[in-house]
Amino acid sequence: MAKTILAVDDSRSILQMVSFTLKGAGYQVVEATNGQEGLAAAKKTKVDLVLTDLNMPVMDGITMIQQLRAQPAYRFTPMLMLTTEAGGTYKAKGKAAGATGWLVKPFDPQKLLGVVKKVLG
Amino acid sequence: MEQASRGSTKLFYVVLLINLVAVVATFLWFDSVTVLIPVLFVSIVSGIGLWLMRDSSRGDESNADNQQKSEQITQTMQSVFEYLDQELAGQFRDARQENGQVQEILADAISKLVESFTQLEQDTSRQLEVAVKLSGSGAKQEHGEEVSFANLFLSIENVMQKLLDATIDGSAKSEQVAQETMKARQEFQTVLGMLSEVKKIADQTNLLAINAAVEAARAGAAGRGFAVVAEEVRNLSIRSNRFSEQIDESLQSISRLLDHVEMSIHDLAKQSDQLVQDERENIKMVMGDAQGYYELVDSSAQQISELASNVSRQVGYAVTSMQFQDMSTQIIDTVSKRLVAAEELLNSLVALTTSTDSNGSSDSSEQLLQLLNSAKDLVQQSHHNPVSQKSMDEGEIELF
Repeated sequence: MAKTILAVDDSRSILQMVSFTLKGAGYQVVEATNGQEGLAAAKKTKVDLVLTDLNMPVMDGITMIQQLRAQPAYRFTPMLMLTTEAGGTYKAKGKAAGATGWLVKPFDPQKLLGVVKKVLG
Repeated sequence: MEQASRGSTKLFYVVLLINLVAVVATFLWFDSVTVLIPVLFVSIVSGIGLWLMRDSSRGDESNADNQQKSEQITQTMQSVFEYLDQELAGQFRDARQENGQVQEILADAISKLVESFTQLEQDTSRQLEVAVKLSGSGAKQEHGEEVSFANLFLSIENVMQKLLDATIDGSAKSEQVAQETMKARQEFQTVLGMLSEVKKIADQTNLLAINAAVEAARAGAAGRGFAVVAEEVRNLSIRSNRFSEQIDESLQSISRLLDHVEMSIHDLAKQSDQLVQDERENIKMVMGDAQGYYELVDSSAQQISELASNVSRQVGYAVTSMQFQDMSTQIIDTVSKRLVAAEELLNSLVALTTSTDSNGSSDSSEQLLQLLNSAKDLVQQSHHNPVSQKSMDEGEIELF
């Protein structure tokens, strides 16, 4: 059965590109445009991987990861940040919140798939 | 005099702040044409302010004219700042609207581009699937057999080979039948030879019967019975001879037929051999052509596959590059936020200058300090750019 990935980004085009890349590789994709929507989507559907932007309106990616990690269902789920931010401070915050990895935009579709495959085991 | 002195000091700080705003505005609107307008305004106002302050300081030595002049200066400054506030507010508003417009255009264009590239990639993938099916590299029917030109080619070759083998086998069997027919004809010749012996016996029997009849006639009445027997024997020999002749005719006829059969079988075998010899070459040629065509189809499918891979790779590059919209949008967002902050700073500054004569010195100093701190915060905030990349090369990946 195909793995389900939650993609969260406030940019419509990034969501389109992430979905296109992941669906092309056979994954199912659930989309959300901010952290709060991401939390709701993760509650509705148990996802196998979370791929989120950092800077978003309503709720940012790090806060969303923090809240997801507090849920038993998502304690060990891989969660990747996909953001334009590359600063060490943000990375440290992301790591502390429970992020599994940090990908700086722009992403290369093949390399994104490589990382996704790796973290999904 | 004291009031004039306070006014001059305040003016000094105001001009200082104007210069600070000019620096911040220049920093924020770097590379923007609109920067020329506010910077020009601010520079002119700064120049007037400094000149007037110098003039005011001279007059600070004691007379009422100077005090009046100072008030005039303050009023002039207020009207200039009010004008500046109105003009710059419009500029800020337009700049924010233009930023929003750029973001909308970018979002719309990229969304359509992504859809186009997605469709292109999907169509190319389907094209590849069709090419693979055509060349027969892995496509399977429901019952598990491959549907392919290669399989069709093998089936045709198999059927043709079976036909050829059957023809060769038929030809060999025809030869065998011809041999058997020849043997049968030889056997008939033997039988015909034996019939000639039977005829000889019948002739001799007839001769004997005639002799017996002569001897019976010579014996007279005593030989009458014997004469009847002799006549019967003679009749039998005649019948036997006639029957032998009929058999001989039938056998001769069969023998001729066998000759024809043998010749026909020989012809058939010969034709089969010729057919095999001719068609073997033709089949070889046709199968060679079919093999060539299959190789062409296979090679074309390979090329289509390579082209599809290239398209896929190029679409990947396009996907990476099209993320410029997200990055540009974030940078434009940051610029818009800076414009808002600069506008707020300018509004505060205008509010401060318009309340110059009504506020006490300690309040004004406090407000000035707050404005300076706001400017400092603004500069600090403007140092953070949420987009770290300087090009569209892929970003780094780090797994914790």
